[in-house]
Amino acid sequence: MNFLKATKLNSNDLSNISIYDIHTETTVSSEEFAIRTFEREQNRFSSIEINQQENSANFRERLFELTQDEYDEEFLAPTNFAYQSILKFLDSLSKSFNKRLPVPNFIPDGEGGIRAEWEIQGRELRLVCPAKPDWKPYLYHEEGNSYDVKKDLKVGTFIKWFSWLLNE
Amino acid sequence: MEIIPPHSPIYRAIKSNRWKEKKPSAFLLRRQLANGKPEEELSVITKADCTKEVCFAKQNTCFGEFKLLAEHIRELGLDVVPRQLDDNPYHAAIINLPLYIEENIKEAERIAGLLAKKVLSVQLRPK
Repeated sequence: MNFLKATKLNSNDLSNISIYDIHTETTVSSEEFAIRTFEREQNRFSSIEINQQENSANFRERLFELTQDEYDEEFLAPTNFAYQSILKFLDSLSKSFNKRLPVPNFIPDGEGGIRAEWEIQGRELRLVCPAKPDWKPYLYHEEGNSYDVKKDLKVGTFIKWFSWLLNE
Repeated sequence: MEIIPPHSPIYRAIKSNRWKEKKPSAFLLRRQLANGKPEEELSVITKADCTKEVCFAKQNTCFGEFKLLAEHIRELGLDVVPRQLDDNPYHAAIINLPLYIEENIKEAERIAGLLAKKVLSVQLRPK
């Protein structure tokens, strides 16, 4: 554990172990340190849950704005399949990162599919979830003159390239 | 065949309100037309003096136009040629785009992004 330094003041009495807590930069008893550590971990897990819920809510709110857009027979509304497909990828993001995530631009492709596009500091990701199962989801990534596509996209590949987008 | 001069403006209809923020989507061909085949050319127009009543792109739903120049399109190895229709003398097409099919997705996305970067201005639909 890299967050504590323990100094044994009295080798015959373990309760008198004094610990330097680098979070508060104070020396505390082992009992106090244990309580603080527990509280910190509890807060950390709470914040993970809050971030996950916030990300998920943010994604869904922006995604479902698509239902308010104008469509016609030449520019089709996204299908339920496309919504379900993109939600699978977005939920995987929410669960994989303990931080507030950038919300993409959601764009209907006009053929019943949905695109989610991020651009951060010259790095671009385009997640494309088509209208129907015959057309597989894919991820296009680009930075300068370097670009490629991951076809028949799996969640693990998506998470990996999202980490790249965030420069992590 | 009539040649569209290099400095001619070329307009691409904005079919989704969201294309204004993310332009590459506007420059992808469709995977499948009503006849089941992939779209081969990207429809554009050479004149866009649209009014509230008349849409030069003949779209049911249109939010405006992206303006490009013919020479900028050709710089990408593409071409833009007249494709006059009975009801639309200003109709033209960007040709030589990779079809939006499984084998070409990578290049189709790339070229869509490059075309998006060639957009000079956005003309919104008159209200």
